[in-house]
This record gives sequence, structure tokens and C-alpha cells, in this order.
Amino acid sequence: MAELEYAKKIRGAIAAEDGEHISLTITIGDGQFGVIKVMVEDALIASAQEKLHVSLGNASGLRSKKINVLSVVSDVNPITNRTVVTWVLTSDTANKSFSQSHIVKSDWGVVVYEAEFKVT
Amino acid sequence: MATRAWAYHAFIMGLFLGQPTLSRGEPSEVEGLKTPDSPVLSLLGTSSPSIQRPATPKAVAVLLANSLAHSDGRLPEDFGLEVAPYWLTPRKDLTFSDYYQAGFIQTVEQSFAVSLVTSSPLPDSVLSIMPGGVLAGAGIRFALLRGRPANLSQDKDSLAKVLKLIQEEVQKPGGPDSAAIHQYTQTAGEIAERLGTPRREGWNSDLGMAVTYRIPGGGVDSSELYKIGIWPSLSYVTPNLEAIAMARYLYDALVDSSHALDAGLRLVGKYRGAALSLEAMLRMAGGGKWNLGDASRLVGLFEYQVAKGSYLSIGLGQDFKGADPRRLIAMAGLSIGFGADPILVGK
Repeated sequence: MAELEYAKKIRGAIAAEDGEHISLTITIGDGQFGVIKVMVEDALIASAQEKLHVSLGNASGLRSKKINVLSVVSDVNPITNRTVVTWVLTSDTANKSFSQSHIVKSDWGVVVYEAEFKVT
Repeated sequence: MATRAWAYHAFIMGLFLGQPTLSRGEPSEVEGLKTPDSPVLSLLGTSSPSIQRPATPKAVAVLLANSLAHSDGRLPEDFGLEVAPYWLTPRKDLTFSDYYQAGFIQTVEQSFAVSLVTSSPLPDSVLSIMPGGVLAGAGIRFALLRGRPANLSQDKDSLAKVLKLIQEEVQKPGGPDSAAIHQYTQTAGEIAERLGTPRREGWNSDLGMAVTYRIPGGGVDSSELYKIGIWPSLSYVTPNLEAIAMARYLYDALVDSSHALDAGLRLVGKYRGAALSLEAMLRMAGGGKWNLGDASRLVGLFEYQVAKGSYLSIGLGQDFKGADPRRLIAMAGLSIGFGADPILVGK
């Protein structure tokens, strides 16, 4: 019987000037299905299934705050047990991409991906 | 209850025992022509080598290197490798929707798998002419068309609800409740399995091909062609109707370079508690020329759900001409209790 699995937590940051606009895109790949939730500190900003693009606001308002992303991915792909999540932080001048992959131990398993980002 | 179950089992037994035995493992029903999961293993007629399915390019390289290192310069024995090249690297941008709404090229790419197998000991059919050595083969399998999964939206919504419950549990300040997490994970797994192995409505088509060689001395330079097999299939599926056409071509170099082609068509219609299937098969075989003869089979089966758990079944048809001269298939049965599942209704 499948047990809940946890992928290694991702931590990252993007450097931006005060006036720059920050957005975040999260994609659940490998044809797998999952839900995504984006929070700034404890406040829910957006949630979606499969893929989410969210505008987080100006860099000045995000400094010293944690951007938390919680994704729960289900292995629904009969060909592979691999799951993969990609997070792309975007400012007006740069992109920063992070990716994490996890192979579930048994078919149709569920894995939790946690990510924490900062604007510096 | 036991008597009722026995009555249904007796009917089902009659259904199968009443058919003439076919030779050489030839399929007696259209289902037997289905594109095999592993065409090369099907062609070798053995399941002895355990197939390994490495998921990364590095794992493929390690497996090949290890097998060759232990084979002492000869072809490794009992080696089985299946690789789906598209899935060897993470597909970061391929969402669930992209996967299920793939076009023609993408469908082929996503489903393409190649297998390499060597087998020893040899099957009995080969041992009589080649006492030692290795059988080796390669096969491919892919889908040409994939229909849209039935109940996709409902199953997706159900799975999303369960995954959100897991999200909430994981975020609880005191930590997740392990019993709740266990229950949600099991439920998610059940829905995921339904989503991952759906009944696909619309056009579906698969193709499998394999070739095998006899290698008496174990060295590639002494190889001789053994068999070639091709399995195409095409189906159209709606909630109430299935039309399936399948075929299997076999070339056997050991048996006078013989050709054999089995082709089958099955139509299944369902309406409320009733189902009707018509199944036709045609077999052509010959050394140099095709010989039709009496190699055909036509069977109709009707099932009707009289009441909950009770089914009336009637079958009628003509079987292949075999060692048993009786070709007529005629059956009727009534299940009035617990017993085997009906063949058509409810599936």
C-alpha cells in the first residue's frame, strides 16, 4: 500500500530592485497530476491544479517575507513513477528556475513538494 | 447460493469446453490477437527473462555495461531490457492535460518502447533443432491513436479534492494526523489508478513488432532468423459501443518459412441491462501461398440482466475447423444468484 512521500525541500531566492515586479510559475510535469498552493508567509495567494502562474507584487513588498509553495502530486502516469515540479521566479530583469524530481516507491503513490523562496 | 453459483459456472465451463482445441497456441478469440505488452517476449514464447526497465540514461548504461561485463565476450543470457526513450529524462513542461491531449506525433513519442531480450534455456519447440545456444530478440510497441479517457473530469475533480485534504493535513500546526494521511493516500491511489488506466473513448490504435534470432554458438556471427511478428489493432469506443479490429502476423523460419495471419473483428453493443457481441476471426496460413480453408470463426453472444445479479446468456456460432469435427457453438444459461461476473454486461 502506498504511503505519503516527501520530496527534498527546495529553497531559493531571486535578487531584484525595489520597483521590480515579481511573479512565480509552478508546473507539475511528467504528465502527473497535482494541486498547488502559493502563500506569502501564511496568507494564501493562489491555488490551482497542474500549473499555476501568480503575480506576487513588487519586490519591495516581498522583502523579508517567505514565499511558500506546497504541491501535492499524484502518480497517475502508467509509464513512469517519476514526478517532477518546476518553480520559475521572474523579475523584470531575470528568471530563476528551480526543479525537483522524485520517484514514488509504488505505482499511484502521492508525494509532497515544499518550496520556500525569498526576494533579496 | 452454492447451487446458483454452480449453475453459472457450469454454463461458463460449457462455453469454453464446447470449443475444439486449437493447435500451436493459436488464439481462439479476438482478445488473443491484442497487441502484447512485450511483443518480443510474446514472440519468444517464454517469460523466463525478467525485464528490467531503467528510468534514466545512466541506469541504461549501467545495466548494459554490467550485462556485457559478465557475458565473457558472448551474448548475455537471460537478459531483458525495456526502455521508453521519451521518459528517460524528466518532462518538466508536460502537464497532465498535455499528456492526455497529445496529438499523433506526441502520442507515438509518449508510448514508444523498445525491448531487447535474450533467452536461455530454450523453449521445447527450439530445443529439438538447437540443443544449446541463445534466442535473442528485439521488439517495439507504440500507440498511434489514443482516445479521450472516460470520466476524466470527474476523476480529476475527485483526485484534486483528496490531494487538497492532504495539503491541509500537511499544513496543520501540530503536524498531520497519520491515520487521516494514510486514508487519503490510499483513496488518492485508487483514483489515480482509474485515471492512469482509463477506458479510452474514441479512436485507439496500437502497433507492436518483434524479430527474434537463433544463436546456436552464442556469438552474434552465427545468428539465424527465427521469427517475425506484427500486431496491429484499431478500435472505436463509445459509452455503448465498441468496435475492435486486431490482427497478428507471424513468420516462422523454422517451420518451412511459414506465414500465419490471424485477423479478428469484435463488435460489442450495450443498452441498459442488455449486451450483444459479435466476434469474427479469420486465419490464413501457408508455406509459400495463403490457404484459407475452413479457418474462420463467427460467434454471437447475448446477455441480459434479468434482475440484480441475475443474467440470461445465449451464445451461438461456428468455431474453427480443428481436430474435433463439431464446429457448432450453441449455449444458453441463466445465472440467478452469486457467481461469475457476466462477460459483457456491466463491463
